[in-house]
Amino acid sequence: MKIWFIKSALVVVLMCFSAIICAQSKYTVNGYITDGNTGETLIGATAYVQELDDGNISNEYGFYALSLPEGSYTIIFSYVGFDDQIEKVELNADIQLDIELSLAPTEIEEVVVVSEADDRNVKNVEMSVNKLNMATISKIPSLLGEVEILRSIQLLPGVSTVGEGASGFNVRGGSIDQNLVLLDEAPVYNSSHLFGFFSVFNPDAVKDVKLYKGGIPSRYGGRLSSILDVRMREGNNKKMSFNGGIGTIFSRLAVEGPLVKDKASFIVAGRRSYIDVLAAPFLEGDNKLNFYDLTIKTNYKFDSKNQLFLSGYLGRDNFVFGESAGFNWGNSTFTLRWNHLFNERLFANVSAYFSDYDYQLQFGEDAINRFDWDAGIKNYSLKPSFTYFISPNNMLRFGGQAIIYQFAPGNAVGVSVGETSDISLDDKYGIEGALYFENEIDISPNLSLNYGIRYSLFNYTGEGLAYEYGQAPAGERRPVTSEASFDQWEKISSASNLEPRLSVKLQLNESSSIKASYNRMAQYIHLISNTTASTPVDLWTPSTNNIDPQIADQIALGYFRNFKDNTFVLSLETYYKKMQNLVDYIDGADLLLNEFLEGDLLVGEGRAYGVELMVKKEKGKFTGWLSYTLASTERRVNGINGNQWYPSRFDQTHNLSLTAFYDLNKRWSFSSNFSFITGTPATFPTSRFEQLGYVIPYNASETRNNVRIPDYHRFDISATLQGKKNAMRKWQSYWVFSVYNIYSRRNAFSIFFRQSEEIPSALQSRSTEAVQLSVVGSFIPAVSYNFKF
Amino acid sequence: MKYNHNIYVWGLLFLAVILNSCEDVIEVSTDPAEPIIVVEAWLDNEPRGQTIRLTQSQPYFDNSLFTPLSGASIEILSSDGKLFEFDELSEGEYLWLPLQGDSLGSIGTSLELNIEWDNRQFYASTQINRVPQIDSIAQEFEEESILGPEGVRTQFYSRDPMGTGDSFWIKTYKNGRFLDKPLELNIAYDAGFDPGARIDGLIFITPIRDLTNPVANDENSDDPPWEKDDQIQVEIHSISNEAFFFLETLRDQLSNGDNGIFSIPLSNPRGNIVDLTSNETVLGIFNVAAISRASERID
Repeated sequence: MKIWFIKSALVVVLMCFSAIICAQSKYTVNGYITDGNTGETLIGATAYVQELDDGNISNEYGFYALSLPEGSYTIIFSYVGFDDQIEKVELNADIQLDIELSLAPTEIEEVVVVSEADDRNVKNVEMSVNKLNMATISKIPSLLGEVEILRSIQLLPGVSTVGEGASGFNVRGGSIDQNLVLLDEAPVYNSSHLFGFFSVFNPDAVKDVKLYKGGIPSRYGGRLSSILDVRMREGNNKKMSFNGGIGTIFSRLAVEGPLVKDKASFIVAGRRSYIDVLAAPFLEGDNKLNFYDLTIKTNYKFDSKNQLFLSGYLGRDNFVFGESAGFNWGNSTFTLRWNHLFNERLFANVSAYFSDYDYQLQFGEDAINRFDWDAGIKNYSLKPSFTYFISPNNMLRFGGQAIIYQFAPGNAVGVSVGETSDISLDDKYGIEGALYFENEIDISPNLSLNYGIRYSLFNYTGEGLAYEYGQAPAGERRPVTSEASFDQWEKISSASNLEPRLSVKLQLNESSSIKASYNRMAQYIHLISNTTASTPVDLWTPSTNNIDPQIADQIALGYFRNFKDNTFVLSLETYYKKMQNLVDYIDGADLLLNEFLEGDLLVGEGRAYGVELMVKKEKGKFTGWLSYTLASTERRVNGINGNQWYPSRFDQTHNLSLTAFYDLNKRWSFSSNFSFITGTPATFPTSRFEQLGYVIPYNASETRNNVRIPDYHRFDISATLQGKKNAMRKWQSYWVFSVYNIYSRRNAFSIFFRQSEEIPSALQSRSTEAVQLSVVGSFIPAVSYNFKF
Repeated sequence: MKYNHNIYVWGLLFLAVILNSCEDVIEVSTDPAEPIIVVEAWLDNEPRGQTIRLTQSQPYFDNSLFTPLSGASIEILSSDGKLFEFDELSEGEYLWLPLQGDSLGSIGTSLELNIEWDNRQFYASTQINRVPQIDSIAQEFEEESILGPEGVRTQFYSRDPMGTGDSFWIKTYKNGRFLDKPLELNIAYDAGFDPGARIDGLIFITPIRDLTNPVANDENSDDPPWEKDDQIQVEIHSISNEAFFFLETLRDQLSNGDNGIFSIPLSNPRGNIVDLTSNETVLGIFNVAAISRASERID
């Protein structure tokens, strides 16, 4: 590994030098590409140099740069849904050329499935990446009519969930904690409201959603399976505007506008549920059930070289049941970013963020009999990143990240008849660091590479006690054998990993290409969760002297083809992923407020493989996509299933979804979605035995996930009615009518077993039954009204 | 620590209203499995008859009577040097009847169970552990809350002895009937829920003190837990740690349906009986409890 690393480092250094030397006689044209109507920067817009038949795309901040030899050029700027803009430049000095694209009038009403260049599917070196824009997401028929980002990405190949309403999502056989969910670069540790039915992302404030499932570039790291990069809008910098809506669950309002014209803008978007108002008739007493979130962002452009962004999120779910019990949880994130142009070709972004997830639980009758418990995870990070635009076909990225973690596994105080017992666990601390380097280069017109390496490091530190555990039979609790005390920031254990990344694209012809990728990912924090759906009280815990970092290696191979002038876009991918050091649990593990949690953990390995097909129709009145995944995801853990491979709880052999949009006329548009998913595995007992009158289920074969619950399928439709358009009228509105699960199928979430209350007769023992839990028991109609002015 | 999942039940209730969540009893088939020997030896050190049952497991949905295992010879040897022989009273039920005032032992006595059946030898060992006295049973009228409908609710007061590693089974009887629902199963490790919580030497914590109230058959029932002149009896049984973990798994599995989308994986309760002959699995627990008790009339 070491020799390999040194070699590749050398190659990289040589490449950079040659690039810099070659670049001496070049000039650079650069700038920001924005939406001329709102001033929002456009991510992934194309700057294409006609003379060279080559170009570049704008980065996450809308910035592009083209380094070209002296000469005159025709540059075409384009972005789907906008009119192309053609600029002729005489390049004999560096120039800054900011571009404002205008909305294409003919396409305003059309759904744009991908917000990127028409042939990007085929031409870009990226693979295993899906992008959804808000216009698409907001047209997908949704549960209770709420536009939902996390539920929408589940319609993409390779993305699944353990069941309706479960928190999080699974990517290519990874568990939910293996997704790095970023909101303006800050990680969101629990992306759910109301257990898992709604995500924390307010659609009014989101600009762009990009999911990396494989071929993950080295600028990203820290999780095994995916990166979900959610970027917030900056806010209209041309004029004040308001938009909002009234739905079944949320009412929303967003305000955006310029603070200083063309220099600073802001957006404030809020949502609040009124489920408690609707549920009021079913409740008595002083009860509360609500959830809300607030998303804010502002930016200031100091000059053409410096821009500052400030974004924040605050969300909370509240459950209060009179005086006897209360439960609330939520995230907050805060990101400060500084974009700086060191020179024409070196773009830098420095981000500093804070992210927090925490919950509080209270039970109690009065001051002398109560139980208060809070827990969470906090982290602070600094992340400098640099992009060096060497030439239109050579780009270098490098940077690093430092993260300080504070894990609060539980501050719990019980007061029993005035006698206080503090059973809090000590906070745990960790420091994560990473350095990366990444080069995207076109070796020839047909061959492109994105290669890079990431070095990551994690130190588990004091202050606190660290334990060592002895041996136990496989699958049983391990006893503590010794303990040691550590000072603040004193190193308890440390781990590091070299994570090579590589993507290759071979262009076969104008409309097809094949791509291949490899990535190694390391993950130093783990979500401790043993339930079917993750609960809000599940906690993150660091890698320690007893828990090794999780590691994944993934290879993927794909064929990409566009048909009929990019009207149809096809991608076919296959992948194999191998995972090490996955966390599992002994039978009867105590995961909460357990000082000796590590003794209840097991270590396992995982493997996942599959084929993913996606066919999109991107143009015309009728658009949509078909997504199909054939996959297997398995685990092997000493002490579970007789140490043999078994399907993970979210293994789904077939996962098909068909999403279609149809624009009837300027006012009416329709959409539908059909999903079919193989039933997930479950463990059924084989036998029963009796003890003390209880009938106890027993699994004599000791197999895990030995049967499957029934297959899942569902059909949803929705219709959107645009208000009458009138150039004189500022107020624009639309209605969305939807029906979820239109044929009222009671899809199984899980099957559980129970004993009957009564013993039928003296000649029988207690009877037992299998019960299917369906989260959605019928069709769910919904209507929402949305406005903008 | 096992948290109080009531909080989820309430949250999920709202979803049930909005999404029409439902539970349907369905037919499923389970894999066949060979029967396994089951020993049921939950004994105590009181001067009264002690019964051990021998049965075997059967298919999960088979609700015929459990097959009794006849013809075993069963004896318990104590560290006090006494031998207790059990006689088969009825099929599969084996009884030891003490002479006047005799018992299996006192706190600290170690006991070994030996069973011989069908040329197989089963063995288990345990110890009679200490048990704290019950100071009082309190009763109080309470308004309707998350805990239940309005009415009198009870609590028992007792202090866990100093020193970690005690485990207890708190059994409540309403008018002489043992509260036997899975959600009424009340166990404690020291004064708290489990070893990881490290609550030692205190008065048992509230949820444990409060689990002396019957759980209604129907969640929406308005029936109060206790009515005037009801008789409540609370017993604390000292149990071994093995018995504690067995009951913990049993309770979590039998009440798993109440966890909704947050259900836990199926896991088998581990017993403490071993098969010396073939090393095959034998299910069940051998425990000898010391008992303290108190009773009260509801007024």
